[in-house]
Amino acid sequence: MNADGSHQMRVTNDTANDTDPDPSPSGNQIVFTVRPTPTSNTNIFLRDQHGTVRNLTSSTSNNGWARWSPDGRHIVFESDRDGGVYEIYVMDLNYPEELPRQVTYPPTPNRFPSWSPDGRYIVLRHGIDVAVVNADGGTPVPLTQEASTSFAQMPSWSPNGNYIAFMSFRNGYCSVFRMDANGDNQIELTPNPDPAHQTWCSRAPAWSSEGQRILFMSARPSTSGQNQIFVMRPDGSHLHQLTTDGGNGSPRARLDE
Amino acid sequence: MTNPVTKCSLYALALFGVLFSSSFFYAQESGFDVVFYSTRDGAANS
Repeated sequence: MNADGSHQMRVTNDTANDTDPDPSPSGNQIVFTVRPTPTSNTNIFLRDQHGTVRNLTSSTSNNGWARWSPDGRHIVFESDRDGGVYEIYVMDLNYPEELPRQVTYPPTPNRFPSWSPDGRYIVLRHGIDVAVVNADGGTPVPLTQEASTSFAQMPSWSPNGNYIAFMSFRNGYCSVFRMDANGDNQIELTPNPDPAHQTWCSRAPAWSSEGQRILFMSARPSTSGQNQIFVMRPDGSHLHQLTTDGGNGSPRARLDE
Repeated sequence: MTNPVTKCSLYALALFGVLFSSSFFYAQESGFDVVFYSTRDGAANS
């Protein structure tokens, strides 16, 4: 990108807090989380190709972290609508009048869902671990084994299905990791060079559409503690900062059509 | 963890054309858009 931050455009312009966007597979629609006021609950909204915005959940509970299915027909999201812990739900965009289908169940909280590229599985945070569950529902199978002092979350499946990028606190700070889709070969991609003396938080990884890059948000000394968006190769090399203006987070990429 | 208490709006990065003249992107990845939230319209960081 240009070093001056050009070629960045505003997508929403309202009085609410809009976060965690995800563009549709066709690239012309966006789902995102909306919190109208600092004390209100969150709902999932859709901005269509014409710029029209509508509420998809219209709930008094909290709903967020929406992710399009690879075929563009479904949205997976987290919600505490049952009054307890967060669980995972899937809505069918062809039948918006129907209640979302519940994928996971209490007592373990489940959050931050993301689809496998074939749409058959959902990777998520299950308790303190990253886990995978059948998209039709079932018991999540952990892929990480976090210590009680740690947690892993915000997983993102690579487009070729071979890898999962995620965030873990296992080294005492939040950092982006990558593992094989079966949980093997977990490696840290954003190590803190001086964990004893500086704060560091890298999280919310997202793959570029061809799988050649991982985008993520990070607050580190070089950003003066502000969250900024970075991009790197899947091995952690060729790090480059994409944003500088304000605080920026939760990047997601799709092909531009 | 990702829900900021300050005002955020959504932005998009048009990663094509001149943006991909930089060596850190492969040519075949030209044409991506990146969407993200930002506090740049006057609010503090999340």
